[in-house]
Amino acid sequence: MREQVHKPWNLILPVAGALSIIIAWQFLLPWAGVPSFIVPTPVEIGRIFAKESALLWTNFWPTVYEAVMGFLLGNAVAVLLANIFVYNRYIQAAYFPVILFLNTIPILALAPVIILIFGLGVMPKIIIAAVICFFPTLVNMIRGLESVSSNEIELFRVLSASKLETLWKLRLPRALPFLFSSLRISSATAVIGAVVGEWIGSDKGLGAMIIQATFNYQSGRLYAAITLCSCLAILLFLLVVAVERLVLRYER
Amino acid sequence: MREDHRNIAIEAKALNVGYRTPSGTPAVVLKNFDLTVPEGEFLTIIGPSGCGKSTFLRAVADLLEPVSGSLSVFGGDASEARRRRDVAFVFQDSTLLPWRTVTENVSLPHDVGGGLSRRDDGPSAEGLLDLMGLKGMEHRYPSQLSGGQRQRVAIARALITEPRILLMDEPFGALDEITRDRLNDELLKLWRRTGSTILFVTHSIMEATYLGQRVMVLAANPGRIHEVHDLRPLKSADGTCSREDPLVVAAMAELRRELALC
Ligand SMILES: Nc1ncnc2c1ncn2[C@@H]1O[C@H](COP(=O)(O)OP(=O)(O)OP(=O)(O)O)[C@@H](O)[C@H]1O
Ligand SMILES: [Mg+2]
Repeated sequence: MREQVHKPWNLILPVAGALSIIIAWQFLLPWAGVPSFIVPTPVEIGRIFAKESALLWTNFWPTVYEAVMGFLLGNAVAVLLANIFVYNRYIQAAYFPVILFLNTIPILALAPVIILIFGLGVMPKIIIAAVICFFPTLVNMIRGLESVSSNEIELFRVLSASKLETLWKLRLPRALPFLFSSLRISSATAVIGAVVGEWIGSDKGLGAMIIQATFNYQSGRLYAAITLCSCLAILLFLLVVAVERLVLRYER
Repeated sequence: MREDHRNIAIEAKALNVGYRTPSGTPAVVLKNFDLTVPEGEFLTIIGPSGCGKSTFLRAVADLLEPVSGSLSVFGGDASEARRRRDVAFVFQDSTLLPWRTVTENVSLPHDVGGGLSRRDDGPSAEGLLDLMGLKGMEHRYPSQLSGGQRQRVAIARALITEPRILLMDEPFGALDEITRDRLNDELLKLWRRTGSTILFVTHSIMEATYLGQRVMVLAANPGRIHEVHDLRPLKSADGTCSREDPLVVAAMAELRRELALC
């Protein structure tokens, strides 16, 4: 009951909040004398979308491709490795500390190395996006696989389940909610990875566009590219949520 | 007389059971356990918290290895019995898998262990759910069931392998008294029908008396058998009794006095 009364407000309030800021931005900034080559107004950014849509699209798709591929690669490797680690504690004891150490290297320091190794194509961007997604998913997935109760383990043992069956039919389903909460975060970080990769060495993609537009004081174009970046992250996020709803039906 | 010809389901001789400690020497929880359970018996186990009731069930289910002494299940090792699927375990929290529907939970034993002991003429999940009064719930998830319904699903899951021994660790401990009484009656019916051996741990003196043909009272520190009471004289031929029968009430009072000393 309570929730139904509040439901329209759940939608109206955030929309109203966002609108109020956009309106303030539109009218207060020019009034305060901020020049539009520093911060363009929302209407000017909208005009860029209309005028330069072809340019924006050609730079949008490479970033989409890199972010999605990086997202899939990084998370897939993390899930696989988490399973191996939980299946065999010795491998985990040997290699988890190494990964922990590698994770302390800032991605901005690692990105040039990756570009050096893989050149200037899409591959290094995919790898950078993957690296950024990898670690949180690995840690979450290990936690998820280990979140089984002792009764559940005993149940599977009484049933003479093999180690692989226990992994597949107990640990993996247990880990799925953990995996999805990490995938939600990855949906944004994958875009960051792709954009960072494009900054460092590319003439295509939203990241490259952001760098070029900044140096040329094309602030409308810069803001349009930024908007597209966040749209992409939101789109990926919604995709993850949709898949999660499909897979974790039992939770509701 | 008759029981002399029955098979022995569980036999413990000078059995010590304990848990591994970091130092390597096991901490013995159950000391010098001597017990014979004939096949088909309903044995209830009662005792103070921490005396080792669950530990004993774990040993029978081959979840714990004996430290010393012998424990045989149908004449062999507990591990052989486990691999033959002779033993099933029902936990206090039903331990249903939340991502499986009721039917899928009940047929879990067929999906693991290489489908051990699966027979075409064995009971079906649907039949067992019907038996447990869960018709119409087949496609629900455990989160959509009440506590009592969940426990029934857990029992159905235990029955699908047609175990010869059913180990139940406070299966109705979290339920209200009315639901518990009803499930007690259903369990007794089930026991008569299947003829399986049941080891049933409980904290309720009433439950122990009402269900058990024998009641084993354990004492703590160290966990040991204090006394095994034969209640068969109180029960009718089909193993039931009335909760109001003065003899039953007297037996309960005696158990209560005894437990105060354990
Ligand atoms: N995994 C374990 N490792 C070490 N000691 C344990 C472990 N599980 C139980 N114990 C110890 O063994 C003793 C008996 O435990 P057990 O669970 O069998 O008691 P219980 O009779 O079932 O008690 P309750 O009625 O509270 O369930 C307790 O003293 C407990 O501390
Ligand atoms: Mg216990």
